[in-house]
Amino acid sequence: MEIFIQLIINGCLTGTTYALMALGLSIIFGTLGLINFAHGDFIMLAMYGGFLISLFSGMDPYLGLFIMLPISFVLGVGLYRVLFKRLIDAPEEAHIIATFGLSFVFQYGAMLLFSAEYKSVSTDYSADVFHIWNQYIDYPHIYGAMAAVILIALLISFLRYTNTGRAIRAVSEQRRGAMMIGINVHKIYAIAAGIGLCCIAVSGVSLITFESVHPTIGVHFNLLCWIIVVLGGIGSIPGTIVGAMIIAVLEMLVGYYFEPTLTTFAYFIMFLAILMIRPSGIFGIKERRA
Amino acid sequence: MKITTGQRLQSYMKDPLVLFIAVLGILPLFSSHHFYLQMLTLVFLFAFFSEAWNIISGFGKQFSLGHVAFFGVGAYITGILYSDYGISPWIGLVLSGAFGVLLALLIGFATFRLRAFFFTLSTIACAEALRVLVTYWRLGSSGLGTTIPAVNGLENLTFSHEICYTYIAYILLLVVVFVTYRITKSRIGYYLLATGGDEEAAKSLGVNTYRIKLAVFAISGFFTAIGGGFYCMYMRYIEPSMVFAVDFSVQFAVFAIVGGLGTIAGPILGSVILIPLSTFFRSWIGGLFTPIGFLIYGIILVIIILFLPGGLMKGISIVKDKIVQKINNPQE
Repeated sequence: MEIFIQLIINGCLTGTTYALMALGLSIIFGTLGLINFAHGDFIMLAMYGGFLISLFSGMDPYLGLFIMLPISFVLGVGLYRVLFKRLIDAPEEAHIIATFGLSFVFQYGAMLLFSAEYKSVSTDYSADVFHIWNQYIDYPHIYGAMAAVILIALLISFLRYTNTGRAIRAVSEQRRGAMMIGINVHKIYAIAAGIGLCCIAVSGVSLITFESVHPTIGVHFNLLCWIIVVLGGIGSIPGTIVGAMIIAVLEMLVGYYFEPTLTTFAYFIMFLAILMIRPSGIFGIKERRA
Repeated sequence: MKITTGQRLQSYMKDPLVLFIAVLGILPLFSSHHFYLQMLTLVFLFAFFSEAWNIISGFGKQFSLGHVAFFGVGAYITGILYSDYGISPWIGLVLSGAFGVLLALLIGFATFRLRAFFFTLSTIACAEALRVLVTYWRLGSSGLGTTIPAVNGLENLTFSHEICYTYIAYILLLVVVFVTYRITKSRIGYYLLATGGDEEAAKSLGVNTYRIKLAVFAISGFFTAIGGGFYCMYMRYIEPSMVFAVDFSVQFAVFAIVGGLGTIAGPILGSVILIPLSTFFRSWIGGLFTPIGFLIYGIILVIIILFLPGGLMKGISIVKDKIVQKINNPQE
């Protein structure tokens, strides 16, 4: 029983980081309607970003976020202007193949710069463990969860209480209608892409404190994020968070009680089952069938 | 009026596509070097895969990225039966095709109720689930990877000269091109095009879109599985992470999209151009800088998608239209 609780706790802590990276995908997909298959590779790049910062400055990767967040935002806006803008009106298969090409570029670029070796960051608290009620929780996961919770809270309040946030929600609901009431759709798209990349930056930095990075790690995260987003229901923030928790806990449980190699199998099967039973996801709106 | 075989043959001869394929068929005879023959084999084989993918995803607009599942299943059935049980690969290929059909029906049954992008995602999920399962089972007597023993002979589908493989791949390509052509000219083909164009409208006109998609998916899966079996006999080594890699599915799609989605010539054109290109990048910028080749390849891919949305076939038809216009109104 104690092990079970431990697994649930660990799953939920990892789940918050997953939620954050899936939210990055959800915002880009929900607002721009862009099917981004290079999402996992953005996460990979963010992890390398955290790695580089701690390598060169010796700073804690989290402090490096003060540099990385502005860069990510600018990068998102730039990507929108150069690539996404041309893609969003193209058919879906063009999105998929173009972003796969992008992921190709990122993967081999990373291989060129960092080689295929596994890289990891060790921090002061890497080996520290928090002990409570017979449960052992390691600090990197706790800090990761805290960072994710803070950013998700900021994101929700931004979307809810600022004008730009409201405009993003309006555009994601109906592009044409938003245009009609005078919202600059392209500006909103660019901002949404920037925010999406900021989410990725934070989740990448959290991940690097407890997982090692290699150039092809993105493939895994990419599918993971898509599964979470579809599972929770596209366009629903609570859905995405719940979906991330379910996936992370499932990963822990299957890995412990059955077989670590079968964790991916478990969530693929669950994903297929959910699509079969409720194609709009757990929190999705029934009518909005894509 | 009944069209005779002779008349049909005559009409085929006029098609530039037939000429193009015929020229491709003569090429191996002039390429004495092993390197070029190998490249041609890959060109034919991937044109074949891309063409098989194109039937359901190009004409039917059901964008599958799970075709590697059929490929992997075919490779595994043929490879394991031959290497562990000594069963002739020819029987293995037949069984691969049968399992390809079964798997297609299974995946199709589960996923064809989903729309557009959700279908794509769930096909990836199916293929990945299979990959994890095969990795877990550790199929084959020698653990994770299986090497196919080489005993020359037609019954073993093992040849000492590369050109035999090249021509088998070419024949596979011919078969799939012919089948695709016949499908597009048949009732199923029109139903399929209607389904791809607007599924709701097709349904309202009484087309059983679900059954059409399932049938065509099965045909596509059949060919992909057989091709997978042949690929395994050609490469002589299989491993779950290799034959179930999503990259393969993406490649099938890339060749068709670059060439022209939903055209018969598109996939052939795509692989004729892209495979030599990627081989060139890999061998030219070799060694430590191999990633640069892939990097350039990725950039080229993005550029083609962005600036030539309809693929090369679209580009060709635009150029052709312009020329025809020039000839008709020379003063303009």
